[in-house]
Amino acid sequence: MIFNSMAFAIFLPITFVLYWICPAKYRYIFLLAASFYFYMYLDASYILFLLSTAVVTFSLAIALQTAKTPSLKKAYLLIGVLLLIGVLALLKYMGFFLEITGLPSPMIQLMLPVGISFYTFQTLGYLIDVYRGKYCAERHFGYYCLFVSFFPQLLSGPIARGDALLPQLKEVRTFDAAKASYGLKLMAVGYFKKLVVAGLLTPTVDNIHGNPENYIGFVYIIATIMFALQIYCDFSGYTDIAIGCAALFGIRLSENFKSPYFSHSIREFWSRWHISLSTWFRDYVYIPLGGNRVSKFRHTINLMLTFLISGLWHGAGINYILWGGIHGIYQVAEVTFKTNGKNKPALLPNSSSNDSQEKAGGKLRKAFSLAATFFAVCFAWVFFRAETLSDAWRILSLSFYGIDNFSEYLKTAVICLDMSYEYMVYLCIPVLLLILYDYASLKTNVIQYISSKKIWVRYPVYIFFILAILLFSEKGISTEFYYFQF
Amino acid sequence: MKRFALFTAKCLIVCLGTLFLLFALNKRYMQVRENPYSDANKFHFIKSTYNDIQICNLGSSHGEYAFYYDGLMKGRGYECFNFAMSSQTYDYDYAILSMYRQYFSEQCLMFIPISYFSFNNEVTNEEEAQFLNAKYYTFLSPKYIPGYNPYIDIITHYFPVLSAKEEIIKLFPTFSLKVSAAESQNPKEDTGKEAEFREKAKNRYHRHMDDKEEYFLDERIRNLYDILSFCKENGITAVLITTPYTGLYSELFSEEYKKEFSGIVQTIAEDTGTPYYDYSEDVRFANNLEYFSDADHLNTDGAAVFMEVIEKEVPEFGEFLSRTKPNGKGYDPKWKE
Repeated sequence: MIFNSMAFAIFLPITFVLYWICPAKYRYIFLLAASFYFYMYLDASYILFLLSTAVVTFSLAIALQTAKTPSLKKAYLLIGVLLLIGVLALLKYMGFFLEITGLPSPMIQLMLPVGISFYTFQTLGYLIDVYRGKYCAERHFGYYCLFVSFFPQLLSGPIARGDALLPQLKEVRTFDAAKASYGLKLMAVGYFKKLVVAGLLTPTVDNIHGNPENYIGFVYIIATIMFALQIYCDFSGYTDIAIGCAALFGIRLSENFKSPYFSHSIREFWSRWHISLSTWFRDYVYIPLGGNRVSKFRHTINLMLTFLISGLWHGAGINYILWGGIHGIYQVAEVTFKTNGKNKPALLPNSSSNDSQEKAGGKLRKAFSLAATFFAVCFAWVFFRAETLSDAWRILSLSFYGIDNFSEYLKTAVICLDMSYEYMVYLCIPVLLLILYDYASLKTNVIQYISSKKIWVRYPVYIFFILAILLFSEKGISTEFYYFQF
Repeated sequence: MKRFALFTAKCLIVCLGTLFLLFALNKRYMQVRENPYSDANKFHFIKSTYNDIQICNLGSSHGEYAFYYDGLMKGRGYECFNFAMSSQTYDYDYAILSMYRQYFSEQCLMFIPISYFSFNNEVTNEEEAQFLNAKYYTFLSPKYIPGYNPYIDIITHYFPVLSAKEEIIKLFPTFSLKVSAAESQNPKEDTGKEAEFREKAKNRYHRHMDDKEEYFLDERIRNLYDILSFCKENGITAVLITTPYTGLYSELFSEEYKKEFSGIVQTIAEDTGTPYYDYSEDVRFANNLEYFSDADHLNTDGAAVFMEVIEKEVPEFGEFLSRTKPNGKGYDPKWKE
């Protein structure tokens, strides 16, 4: 089931009401059944993969905790890691591997269950945490199964940690209206991002990236910026809906996005973009590799490796690996040319990422670093979005074609986009609203700020917002979330 | 439980407030909008005006603009109807035939246009296609609409504001005026007819041919077979025809593509014993841009000439006119308004 479907619009209110009516001690069973139904609605067979993952990791976590010797513990962890990564590699990367090695394709087409990359990483993180003794293995299979399959975050995250989510699932709660109300408002923000902004941008982006040979010049730059906004709204919209949805059931999921395009460096960008994944890579890949507490050369290798793996996680394709590699290079460059002389770890969302902003000084410099970071991120997005490497090369090499005649350069783009003035205005209003919302989010929690206002202020705001979603949402445009494919 | 009930009540208040405003905006929008389904208006007059259609055609905009019945209706008294509409696919042609079957004369001649893109889908996303086909909800009964969706039905009839898209700006008259002023200050350059047609031809070609996994879908071919079977069962004389295009449009399609297209149409024609006439590259039209309103649509003058040409060259049409008396009903201008 996807969040922006009619089925979900019926499913959620029913689940919400029944959950709170249900006796507290049985609620987890109800939520588990609802999560299974939610997942099986897409394809019933997906549940087999999910259940197998849950059974294997549940058993291995208990086994490695009770193991008598460290070597046995290590062996159990290794089995878990190999099994989880092995299944993911087989289902997601087999085709890609065969393609680049030129080996013949197998006769059987393997299915790729939606969300497998997310729940594989979540369970892998759980196993490693238990191995490290960060927390104890869960002994109740029902709660553990719910931890793996909790429907709001099942398909595209945020990737939860065992110590953050499991205790919440076990907790006996009473209904918290403030939490639920916050959840609904956050869901509305998510729907606005996905249905309105991403929905409006999708057709143009798809058109240009689907047929780059039909376009030239400035239109590529516009399409790249549009894609940057589209993917952000699509994914952060999904996350907002997921976090809001969990809040309806009194459960707090971790934040995943914090106005990433207002970052002043690539390091800061990664502390604001897909936070649950970047912290996952920090804790389970980057730091085990040695992090920044090694020689400069090793540090560079660690950064590059982490980002290359991150790229590969996103998809089985050279373009994703390149995208990860470019971000790795950015990080290495930032560490190498850092003016304050400190080689801070580049992949630390909780590191003092604001230091550089504060020290940078001067509004102009800040504006420059903001623009430079945004365009550097956009440059990498070209590889992420392009269908082939030659498409990416075409877009990059011909983006400035004809710029010597600047007015013609702009005019050609306007003609190519084939948009009326009315449509451009229609497109710009939601994008401006989004930028305003993100900018305000840097200073305060916008939802809490509005909620604190008098009733005659906040209620019209809610109604205006819902109306904006209803009126501006693109109906009939591709409804899938971009990150489902990962 | 009390807190839960209070929360639910607050949610309901917001929902009701939203609905109230939505109704108000919808009402206002219905007053200011231009009917986006105006090309479907003609169907509303079938029941009151027609009962014995003698000559008609199906098809997309190619058929809509190529078949011009003014002369046959006004001058000669035949009852004719143009069932074609922009982007109309064969499944909707079939739906229209099924819905209006009782309005056809016992001896009816029907032109079934076949365009280069007739066997593929203009949009590949099913939901997008459903919204594009919302116009059929204004005159077809639900049972005839392929993949009927009650949600689209409700939006089309009662909440058009929800599908208004950029038209929503019309709710704010001051803004619309500013936009018009801006547009008037930037008149489009006259780049010459040929250049304009060439550009439009390319756009249309890309719209229909890009991002398609298959150009000749089995489903569309089956739809055409269904239409031809329907005609046979109901005594309708069917004629398959490809309407004229400018050379600027035809040249965009490769010879291989045209060969494959032609082969498929010939097979259908032979299988069903239906005559097929191809005017797509007829030099009388292809090089005369004055017959066209754009690269692949005839204008009124071109359509009038085309009707004369097919009357002479399509034996089924000529014979039909010579053996069938006009029913005298002729032309009722109401539907054209």
